[in-house]
Amino acid sequence: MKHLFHTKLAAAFIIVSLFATSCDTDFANPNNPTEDIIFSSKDGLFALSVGINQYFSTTALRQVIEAPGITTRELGVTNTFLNINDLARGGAELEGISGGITNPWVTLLRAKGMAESLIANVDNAGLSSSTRNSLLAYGNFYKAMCLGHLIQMFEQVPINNSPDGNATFSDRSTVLSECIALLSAARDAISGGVSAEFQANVLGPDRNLLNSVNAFLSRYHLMAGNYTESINSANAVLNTGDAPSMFSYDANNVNPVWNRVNPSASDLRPQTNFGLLGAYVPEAGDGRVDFYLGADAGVALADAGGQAISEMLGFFETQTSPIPIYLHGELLLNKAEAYARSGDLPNAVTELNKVRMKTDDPLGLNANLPAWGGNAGNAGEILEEIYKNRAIEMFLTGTRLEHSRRFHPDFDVPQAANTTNERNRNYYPYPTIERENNPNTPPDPTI
Amino acid sequence: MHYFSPGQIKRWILLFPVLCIAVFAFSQAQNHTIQGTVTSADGEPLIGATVLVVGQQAGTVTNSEGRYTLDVALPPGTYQVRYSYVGFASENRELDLSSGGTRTIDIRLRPDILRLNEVVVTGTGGLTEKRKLGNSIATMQNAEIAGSGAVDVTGALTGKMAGIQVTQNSGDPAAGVSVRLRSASTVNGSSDPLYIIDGVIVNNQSTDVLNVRSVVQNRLSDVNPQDIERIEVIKGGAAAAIYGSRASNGVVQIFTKKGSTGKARVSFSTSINFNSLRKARDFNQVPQHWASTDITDLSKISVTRYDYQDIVFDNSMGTDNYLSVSGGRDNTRFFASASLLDNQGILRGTDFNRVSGRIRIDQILNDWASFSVGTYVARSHSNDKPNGGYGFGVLQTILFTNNMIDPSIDEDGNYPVMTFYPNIYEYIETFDFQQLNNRSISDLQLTLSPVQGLSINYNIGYDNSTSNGTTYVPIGTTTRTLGEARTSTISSTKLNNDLNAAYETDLTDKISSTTAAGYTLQYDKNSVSTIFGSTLALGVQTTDGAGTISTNEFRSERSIWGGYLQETIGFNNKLFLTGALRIDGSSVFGAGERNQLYPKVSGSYVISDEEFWSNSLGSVFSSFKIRAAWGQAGNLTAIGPFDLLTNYSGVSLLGVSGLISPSTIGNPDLKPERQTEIEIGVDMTLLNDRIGIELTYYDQDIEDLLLERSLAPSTGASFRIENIGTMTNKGFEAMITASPIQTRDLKWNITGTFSTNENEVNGVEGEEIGIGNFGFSKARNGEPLGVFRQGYYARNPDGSLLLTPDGRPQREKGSYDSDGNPIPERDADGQPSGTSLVKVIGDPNPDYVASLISDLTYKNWSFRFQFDAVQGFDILSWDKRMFFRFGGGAQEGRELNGEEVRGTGAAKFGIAEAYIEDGSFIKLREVAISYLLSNPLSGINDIRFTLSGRNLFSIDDFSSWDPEVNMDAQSNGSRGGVMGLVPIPRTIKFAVTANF
Repeated sequence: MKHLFHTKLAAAFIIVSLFATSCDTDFANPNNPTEDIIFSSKDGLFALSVGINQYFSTTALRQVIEAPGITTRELGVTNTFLNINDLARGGAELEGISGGITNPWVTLLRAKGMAESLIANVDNAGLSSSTRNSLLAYGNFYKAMCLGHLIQMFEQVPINNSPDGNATFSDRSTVLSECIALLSAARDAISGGVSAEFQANVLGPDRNLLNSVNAFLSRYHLMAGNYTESINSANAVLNTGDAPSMFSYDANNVNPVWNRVNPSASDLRPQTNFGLLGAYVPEAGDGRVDFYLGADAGVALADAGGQAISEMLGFFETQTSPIPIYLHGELLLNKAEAYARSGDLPNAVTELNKVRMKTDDPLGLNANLPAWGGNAGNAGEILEEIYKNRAIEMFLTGTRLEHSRRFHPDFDVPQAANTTNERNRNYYPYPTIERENNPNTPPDPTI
Repeated sequence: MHYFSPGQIKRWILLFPVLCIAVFAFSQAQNHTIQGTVTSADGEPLIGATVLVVGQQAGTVTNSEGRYTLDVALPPGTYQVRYSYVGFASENRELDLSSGGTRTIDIRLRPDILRLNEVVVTGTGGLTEKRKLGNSIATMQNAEIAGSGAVDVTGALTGKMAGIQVTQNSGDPAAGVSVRLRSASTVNGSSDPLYIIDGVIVNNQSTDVLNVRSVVQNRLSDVNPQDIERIEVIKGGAAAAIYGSRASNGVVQIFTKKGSTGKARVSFSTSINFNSLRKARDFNQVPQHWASTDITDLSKISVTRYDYQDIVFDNSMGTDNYLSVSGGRDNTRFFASASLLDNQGILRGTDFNRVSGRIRIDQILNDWASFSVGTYVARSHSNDKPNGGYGFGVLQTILFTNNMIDPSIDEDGNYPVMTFYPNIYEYIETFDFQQLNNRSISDLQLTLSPVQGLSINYNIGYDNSTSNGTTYVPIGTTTRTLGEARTSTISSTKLNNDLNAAYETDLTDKISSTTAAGYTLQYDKNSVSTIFGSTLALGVQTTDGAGTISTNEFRSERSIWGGYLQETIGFNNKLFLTGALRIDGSSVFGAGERNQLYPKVSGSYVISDEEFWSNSLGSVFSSFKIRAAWGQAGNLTAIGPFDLLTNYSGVSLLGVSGLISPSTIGNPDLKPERQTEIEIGVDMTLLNDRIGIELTYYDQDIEDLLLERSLAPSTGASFRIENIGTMTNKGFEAMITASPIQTRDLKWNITGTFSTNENEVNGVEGEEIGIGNFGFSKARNGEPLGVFRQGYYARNPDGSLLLTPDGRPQREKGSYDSDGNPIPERDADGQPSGTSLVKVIGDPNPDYVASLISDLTYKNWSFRFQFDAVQGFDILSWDKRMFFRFGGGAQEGRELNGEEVRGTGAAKFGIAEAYIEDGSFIKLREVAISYLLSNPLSGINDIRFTLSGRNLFSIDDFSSWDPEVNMDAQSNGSRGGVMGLVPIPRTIKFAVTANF
């Protein structure tokens, strides 16, 4: 009797002990790390930093260049894909549903989100101040670039992403102030230089973060009307000797514009004469034409304008051609424009002629033209010459829509689709996907 | 077992009181002998009937004369002895063992055409008679499975019960099978049921290791159907609630054979089968071709036309050998089997073979404890050829070729280019595609009955499968000149650990109670790895040294845990009420959704046991049962193991690695899809149990369907998987069984099943999502899952086709109204104008599924047939479409003959409605004649000779080879797509089974 009791007790005990263990209720993903791993260490934040640049330079940059490039005729459309044809036709036909404007919106906000995650977590990993400041400046720089590119395309944009889907929008001046604040903070954080480890492991040999920050400060100060600050920021770069900073590519991360315009891609081609017409057509002998454009390549689709198109050279010639983060010529043009708009015409012409007569550009982008022969006492004429030089010098930098709007604010953009005007939209409508999911989306611009 | 961490004992210590019930004491046992015979109502001995002392570990089966002898050692008292036999109502007899000695009990069993007295376990938590259940449950016995001639378990289920649709997705010998109980219950997950074999939750993954969709096997194909003793099937949430988050598609529980004590029994069977193409399809036989590509130029030249089907299809053979040995002595019983299956496909160069072995040992430890341990090992191998669906394939090459090219190899050893895919001879002669699968399934079950009425079952199951696929396309292949090699491995380990207890007691004379409780811990581990190489060196068949290599690897783990409590109260053994609660969780659920609760209630009322019934309607309805069940169950197949996390992706730029955020972010609130089902039904028998009828109506509401929804891009991401969709299923099932003739020499049983279902999807963001079939299959709000929504014919008001001025059909154009309905528009010439319109043009879900099975035995002869019908479903026939356009089809022949305007086929190629076909079919699924020779030689008990046919003919209007196959293989939502798929062959089989 006692024996049986003990046996049953033992059986019960064995069963209970088999269950007296519990299974894991959470498993880490060995294939993809999650935020908690990335945000808590220097290595994680460095990896995120590399990822931000990889995503921005291969994915977002394509949209940054392509959308305004089609709207302002830098690029001719050679395929029937709707998204690029929507942009080529523009006007009221370009609706919020179009992939042409949805793609830049989505990719820039995603890149901005990664930059915001980086900024938000620089103090969480217990880093040295030098490393922390380098990461902060880097995050601020990318966030400012994303915001800046967005505000060049849209009337209002959300300064901060919101995971809840209710991000609030800010107007142009507020956004530009934010860009300037982000970049100023970045500049101050790395005024003593970035950490050597950050330079080696994230930036690499081709990127100078401080110069890049100052170059974009110059751009955004100019857009905001802060002419003195724009000149000072440009000088901060020019005075350092100005080694170029580049987005670099490899076989698995190809130049995103080359990928769309190379001879075996059937999507887009640069327009002959940079898509410029009339008085803006480059002067004979302008070295920048042969720098950027190759042989004639036929015409764009008739429905998309049918313009003459050329083969692509310059910064988009090969699969791995590096793309400059900023151009030496832009800094000179920023100064010229800032002087011109603040009434200092002699200095404006001086800086303009530096661009026209350039033979020693760090990237070989040399106009090699004679000094400007226009009326040096007429601010309007000077600005027109600056616009023309921006359109040529800064070909496919994603800025021509902004320039066109700033120099030609009174240009009447028709509601009807138009495939040949200088621009066929002032601002893009907000993507439907944002409007349907974010109640704070502002009304669309009329054009 | 690293995944079990020690600790948290306190959580389980609560179980202790339950288990301590085990420590009751017993009084001293005495020896007794019970003996007698078991016969049918007409006095015929029943061989193999079960005799069991209820609640004890004592039992036996009757011998060939229907006699039994049972020696038991039991304490004095009153016991119940149960006599049961398949197809007969079980009977209980009281047994008074107040003194020792021998008792003789002879018993006659009544037929039980509906098997209401059959004891089942699935969904009940313990052994329960069907009559007590409020839900329908279908069961199948060994004879029905083995007799079907199917080579896998799911094939054997076809047509055997109402509410099941089994689809063999390709006629390739290594193809997969889809099983749907009632209907689809998810959009993005799987609608295949949960399979349990001997207590092991088994892997039925579709393993795509070749990147050829049509030869994706399900892992249930590893299991040899000849080992199966019995299958129980419950079909929806109302019945399956106690299986929790994995059960909304229903549960198929499989029990394999066990040994019995006595002389060892040896069974050997061998068969040979012959496979052939059931139907060749039409092709272009007009020996002419257009002289010009200008469709207005009707001049022709002479050409030779080829029938490529003759080249790629061939008659083939297969063999199947099976040996089992079972027996036992005293307290030990064993069963062991080995099998060797070899089957060639009708597509040249394809085959499937499987070697398997199974061992089970049952050991009685003492009068209150026993255990059973079993293991199954299988290795299968197939030679495959790419075919079907996406990418290149043998039959796709035929579809895309104008059949005036002689495909034969030329003198220089070059294969002529046929189209943009390889030459058909290249696939057959030079390609090498193979799959190799290794599988082992093991279980250990410990059963304790420490006190009267209480049984405790502890069960551990382990299932390990590894599938490897290799593909090789040689360098120099036409259209694939660089050569390609691929190797892919999918490994899966599943472990389940279950404790179930059931306690039966009579509360009063009239009220009985059965309480069941259980707890389960489950763990899965999966990995996938693939290497793909192209630009191969001559003669290299692996990825080694390939010019371009890409790799893919994914590993995951998952755990599931849960417990249930179920109570059944019986009143007068006529009215039974059941209530149950299941709580479970999984590592794949969000932190806030870790505990999911699934309730169920059900009731059954055997109204025919009431006196008022037997006095009135009893002469017509010999039994009548009303049942109703309501319950909930979940489905977590649409949740990836890491979907709740925001998973960053690795990138590498200039040799430096980094991480980017995903476009689909994690959802920390993920929970399983939840089905709420109500089913009501009646089970009745008429005319002295000659006719049995089961009728069931069900209504399923599925909520929280997991769909990807768009996010505002200002969140920084684009998508998140959320529980936002809904689905409904309403359906009716009927099964009628009749035994019109039951004499000693002649017996005839006939069974018909019928089921119909209406499905509707809602809650899809943006109205619809594309789910396969090149995006033509949609999950669309207000429509059944998987409808085809695409372009359609422009028609005149009278419904005739509105032709172009040149006399060709054309696609409808116009605009959409504010509700999204297409509105045709006409220009001044009466021709369509506006944008090309789309609408729902077809539905792959059948109106109804039905079957008719007849079993006739006359003395030693038996004759059996089964018809399966699937009616009222549409097929998106890519076969038809390609034959409109590429010149090899009969359409081109009609245009060459001038019967139709040249260019008609090319126009139809662009109108999806033109290649929607009615797929309705009635197939003669099985027909068999067999002869049983008893005691032919000394030492041999019997030999059975069977000649059977499978899929001998089909009544259908389908233009291509077979309407039953599916391009997207086991896809849940994408059904009814047919493109270049190998048809299911016609099979004739001769089998000999001997028992020693």
